[in-house]
Amino acid sequence: MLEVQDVTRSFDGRRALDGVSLTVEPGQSVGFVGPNGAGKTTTMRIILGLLAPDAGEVRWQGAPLDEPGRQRIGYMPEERGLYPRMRIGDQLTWLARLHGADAKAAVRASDHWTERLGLADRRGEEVESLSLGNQQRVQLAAALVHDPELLILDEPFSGLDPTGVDALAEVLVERAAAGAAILFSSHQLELVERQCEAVVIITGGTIHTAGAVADLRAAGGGTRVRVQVEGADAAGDWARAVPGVRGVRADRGAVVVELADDAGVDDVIDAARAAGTLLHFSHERPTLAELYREAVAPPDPDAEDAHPDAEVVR
Amino acid sequence: MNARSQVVLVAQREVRERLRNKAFRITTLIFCLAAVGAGLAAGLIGSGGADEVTVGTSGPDAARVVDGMQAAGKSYDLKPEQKAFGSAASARAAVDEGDVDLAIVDGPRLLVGVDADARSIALAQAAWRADAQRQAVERGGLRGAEARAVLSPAPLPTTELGDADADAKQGVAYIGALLLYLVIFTYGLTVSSGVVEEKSSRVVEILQAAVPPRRLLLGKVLGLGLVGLLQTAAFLVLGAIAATASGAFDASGIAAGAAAITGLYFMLGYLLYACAYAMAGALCARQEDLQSVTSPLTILLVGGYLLSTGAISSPDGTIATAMSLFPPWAPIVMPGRVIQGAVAWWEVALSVALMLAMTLVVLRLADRIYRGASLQVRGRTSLKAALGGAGR
Repeated sequence: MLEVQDVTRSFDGRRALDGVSLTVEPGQSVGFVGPNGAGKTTTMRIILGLLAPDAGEVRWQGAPLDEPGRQRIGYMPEERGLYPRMRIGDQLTWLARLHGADAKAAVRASDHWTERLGLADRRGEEVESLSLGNQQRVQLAAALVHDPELLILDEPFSGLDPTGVDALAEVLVERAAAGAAILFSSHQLELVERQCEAVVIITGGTIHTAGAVADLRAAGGGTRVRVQVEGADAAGDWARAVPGVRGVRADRGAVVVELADDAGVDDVIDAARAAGTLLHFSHERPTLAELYREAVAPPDPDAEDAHPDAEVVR
Repeated sequence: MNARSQVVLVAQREVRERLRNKAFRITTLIFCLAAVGAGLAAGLIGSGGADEVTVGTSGPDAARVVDGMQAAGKSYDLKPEQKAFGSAASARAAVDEGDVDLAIVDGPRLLVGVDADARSIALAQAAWRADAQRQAVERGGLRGAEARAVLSPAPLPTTELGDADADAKQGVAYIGALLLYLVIFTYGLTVSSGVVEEKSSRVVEILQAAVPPRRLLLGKVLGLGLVGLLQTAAFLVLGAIAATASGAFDASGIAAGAAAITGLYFMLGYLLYACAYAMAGALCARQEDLQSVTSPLTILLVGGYLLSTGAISSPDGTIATAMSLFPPWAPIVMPGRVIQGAVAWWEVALSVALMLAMTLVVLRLADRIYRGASLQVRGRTSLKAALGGAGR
């Protein structure tokens, strides 16, 4: 298990991380989300030993993560980078060996991952001759080629086409099933929601929320109902006067009503009936995107109403 | 994976990628051809051995004199060749036209052209005298060993004072200093641009996650150093073979000790400067910054080279002595002094120790700067920022 414990780090007196703690279990994929500059990359660099924490520590399997331990990490940095003039096969083999694989195993792994990621006929080419999408695949192969127990991937999905996204998603599921612990950051929240059992939301250098996605959705954001009323005004003004209602917004022909808790649900139904003919009524869980929005910016119903279609902050 | 095998892996990569590089192959080929060409040209221009002198003859007496000239030519640094003519008149015409340098015609008479070398005239006269004496002795009844004892007594035993190899040693010192300067300059820049490539391509981040920067730098320096050493050795060996084949060069003239001391300082000097160049590379984010950041090193190096020529010609001077002890210049200045025997053993030991110590210090600094600066992508890193705030 990877444990980041109470990690604090400042740059030039500005606090970038403040008491950050998170855990990743073997076999688990954890999504690491937060706005730009929230501290995701800094946290990952501290895990990899590229930066030293001012306080706190990183532990792996119960012991502080040391240099031999770090060689068991597969890392994909946010700023991609490989030797541009080195051939793909050579480069992957060499990286595998640098992480401790013996010569034969390194060649095997390099062959395997180029095959798996559709680069088999490109092995002899130099990295700089590939398209950006294919360079990205090589970068992924570079993170996987030494069969790491822990994957730290900084924005692995950015820059990939839809096929690439699917291929990567599949590989991550497969690695997790094989027992690897995976921490990856992303701004694509539906993807994180689909891919991860757990998520960590970081804002301004502190962990805002962490836990299983299902629990967060069940717990987060109070109660929300979707109501469709024929004959009432589309903006849902009928619901605003109901006690306990925190917010109302129009959404694809229906009205979404936010309540502090389940107690006001009956009142909403009564108000809907009074306003017109009730066509649809459903209880909704907030999406990860909504939890995220709530985390990064405190709720401001007016601002949300102004952009009813904005769903994900990319 | 232990430290040594990681350093070896990094070095291996440098060697393999260098050898795969097309520009490198072409340059090496061109320089190899140039080395062979220079060796052959030295043979044609210098011709090395004795000067040739052509002696025209007419008649049997004259031919015997030329035989005598050929036997004694070595002491005069001359290589006489005989060209026989049918008559005294045709031999005279040949001297006139410059076909032969001199002629000996029965009479006997020595015909000398206006440009004739005094040495060849002296040689011809000596051979003539020896021939006349031999005939006189034989007429007196002495033969064989007795005649030889009278005519050519054993030569005075000679002891050569001074160092016969002095020229060769000084030559090795000059060539050593020049090569050291060129190779350090070329490969130092290669090291620093390799470091910049790692930074600018951002591969440094995944490398550093797996390998401490010290090993990355050391592996790079050693790998490229090996390539530089082999390349230089190839040029030298090819040049020497060509020069030997063309007769311009006698390998036995080079004292093995001189070559060994030059080689030792060559390697130590390369290590020191390559680490310094690696440090300079770590301060740059783009290749364009390299020239200005490496210029202090280049100045040290060029200065050292210029001063080394002075030190080779007067190895006992105060400046030469001081410079040969201290690291930035020791590798270029010391070999010339050692070769010429102007150095006590403790001076060598001290300079080697200082150089190794400084190399370690530079490597540590480079390691620290590389850690601090490599995560900063944009722009040049100031030395202070790299050493201080950004340490990881």
